[in-house]
Amino acid sequence: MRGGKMSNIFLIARITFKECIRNRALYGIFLLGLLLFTANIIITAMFSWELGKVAVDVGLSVVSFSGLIIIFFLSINALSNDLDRKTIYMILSRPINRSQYILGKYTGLGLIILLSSAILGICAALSFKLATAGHEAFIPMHFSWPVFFLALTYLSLSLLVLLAISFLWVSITTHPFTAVLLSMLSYFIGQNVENVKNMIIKNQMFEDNVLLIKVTDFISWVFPNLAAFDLKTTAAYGLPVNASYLFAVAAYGLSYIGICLILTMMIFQRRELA
Amino acid sequence: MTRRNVFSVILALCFFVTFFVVCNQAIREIRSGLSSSYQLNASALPPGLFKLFAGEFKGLLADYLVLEVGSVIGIKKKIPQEEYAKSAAALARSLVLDPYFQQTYLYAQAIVAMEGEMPEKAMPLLDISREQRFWDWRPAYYMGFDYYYFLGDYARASEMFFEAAKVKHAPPALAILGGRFAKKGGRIEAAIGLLQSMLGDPGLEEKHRAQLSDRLVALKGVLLLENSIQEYRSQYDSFPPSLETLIDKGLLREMPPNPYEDRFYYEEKDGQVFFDNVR
Amino acid sequence: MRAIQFDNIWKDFKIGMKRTTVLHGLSLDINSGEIFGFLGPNGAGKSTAIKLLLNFIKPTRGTITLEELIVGQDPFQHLIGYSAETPCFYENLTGRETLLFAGKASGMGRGAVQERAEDVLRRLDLLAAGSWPIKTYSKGMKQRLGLAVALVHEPRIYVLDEPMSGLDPLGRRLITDVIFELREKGKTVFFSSHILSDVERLCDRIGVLNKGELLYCGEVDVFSRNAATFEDAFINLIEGHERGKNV
Repeated sequence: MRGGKMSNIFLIARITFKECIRNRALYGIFLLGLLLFTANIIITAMFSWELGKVAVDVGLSVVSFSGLIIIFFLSINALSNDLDRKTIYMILSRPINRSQYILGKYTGLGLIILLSSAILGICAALSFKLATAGHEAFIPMHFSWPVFFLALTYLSLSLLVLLAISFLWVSITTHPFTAVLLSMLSYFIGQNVENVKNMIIKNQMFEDNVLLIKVTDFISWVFPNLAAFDLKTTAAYGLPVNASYLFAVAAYGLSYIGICLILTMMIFQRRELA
Repeated sequence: MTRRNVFSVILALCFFVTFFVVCNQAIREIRSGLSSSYQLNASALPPGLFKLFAGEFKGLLADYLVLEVGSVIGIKKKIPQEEYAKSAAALARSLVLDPYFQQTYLYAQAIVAMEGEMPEKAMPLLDISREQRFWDWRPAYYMGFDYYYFLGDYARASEMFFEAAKVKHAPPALAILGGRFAKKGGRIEAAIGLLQSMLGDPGLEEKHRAQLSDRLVALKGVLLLENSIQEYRSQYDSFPPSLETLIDKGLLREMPPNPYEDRFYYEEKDGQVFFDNVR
Repeated sequence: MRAIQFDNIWKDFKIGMKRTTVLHGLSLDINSGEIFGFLGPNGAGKSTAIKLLLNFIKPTRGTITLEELIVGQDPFQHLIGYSAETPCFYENLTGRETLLFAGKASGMGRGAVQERAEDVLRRLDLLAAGSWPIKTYSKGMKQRLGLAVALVHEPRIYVLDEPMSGLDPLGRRLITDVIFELREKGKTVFFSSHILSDVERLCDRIGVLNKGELLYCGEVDVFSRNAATFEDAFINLIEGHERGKNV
């Protein structure tokens, strides 16, 4: 039987990608991105200090925001629609096993996110150039393009981590709406878990509350520390980057994705597709 | 799933979990060196814009910002100076979102002014609170304190205390403080009174208590010495040549303690006593 | 040889707190090369049986085998072509893209699948529509595409869930012709329907299901021997069963 494991995954990735990219909603998101970039130029024009920093920050925030919208409203739907509308029957009645299906879907949807980050990232870079044109003096001293694109990469990685978690939620819940809510919650927790943990663990006020500390620590391990992927300030100011830190974060992200996908595959193996 | 598949899945899972644990630990170590500060996405935005994006969640965000400040400063170890500046900025943002919040100005006073020793950054924050919380005498009171304690500006301090006194149900002592600070003479008593009231203030953190107590002790010493000097003057029609003279002449039992230095400083020409040599 | 065998299949569903048994000890054999019709009123359990066959759900008890391969243990999908009751596709893809995916996923090479896709599209009167996105398709077109997807890799066994539903008479004729052609080629066709006339015309053997119980399994002519029409035989059987249950 031709068509080994990998090619099956790529087949599914391809149709997932094609299906998603032809979705009109995607154009809306790109349009939103472009609008926000124009707004960036207006925003930075509004004040005369910290231009460069703001332009970078707004630009990268727009990329992140668009990625989030894609995850919450397109990607999760793409997966749960398969299950709801039984499109998945057409796929699983072929010699494709459920794990290949999950990996293929993830690859396809992940590529959409990477594509969106790339396109909007370039727009962000352009809007930065436009916004700071004529005011080059206000660009932070050590700003550099490599660090900007590094921030963009890690931003994309954190979106991929969130995508992996949302896959896990879809495999556990019955309703796509619940999956969206849980993914949003995961995002929120992931962004703030570090801050909250510091607030609680290091604050003298909570020293005696052992239960609270243990629960917070547990949550900070289970949920991904999305704040670690946030290099916006580094990019905005051109701060020095620590190579071992970056490596650790990348490996952390990839292993978290691996764990989520494996768990998803395991849960999905047992799921009844009635 | 066949047995071989199950085995390879578990193997893959173990592989990923190991990586995950190791890297997470490394990341935590690296990041604990940084302060837990301001990874908020919008941190580079000016306060006005921040308000725009906060929408209906202004209040929440304001609370969150203040908590963040508290979390940075709640750490027991030494905090680099720029964290205080960042705290001031965060509190400023918080005030834009919610100028009525009490915790914000309490932190402005405790953290930015007292601990960070940046009263000039705390002043604008306190001023906003003073204006918006028209029912609250404390912001103006803190401003008055900062003017006296840090900036040595008695005139402004007096103004502030009068402002504070105007608020309904403000303690009557505030007006007295204002009056005292306005006059050249009687400032030491005023300062002592102020410090005593500050020491009784519920918003005062334990770690600042010692600072203020020291100042109080020093001021009491100065007051005692200056009163003794006035005694001497009324007796001998001139200022004493040195502080020890007061003890010799039996006007003073022993030198009052100076927590800052081992002696008090004395200007014979106008009979003024100082607890430090800064003038 | 037996193409498909259901061996004492029981299936329970848990809805809320209640546990309902949808299939009671279903045992069924489908021989190679025959057209087998699976009949029953709505809610009898036909779709459930087919989903069990496809390993979409797992039986509470019993096993299903496809040409000696055990469903749930051995990979069996390469043997079958499946068409769902209401076929659902990725709406933004074209018919041709979907077919190419189906063929490649079943192991066909690129050249072979492209040629075969054209043949199938032509046979099912979808040649022009092949380049249009599926969201423009009518119900009938989707139904035909569902069959196309089952045909493209030329498997030995065809499992069709209500292949004629929603089709106009022309469409129904087309499908019946295709099914006859499959039998000519020696393929096995297992399909479920509640359109009795189609079943009577097409099938060699039938199985009648009601409320999860198999009431009859055997030749079509034998079935309608004791009644005026096929339809009468069917209704008598069902009503008899219902009465028996109510006693």
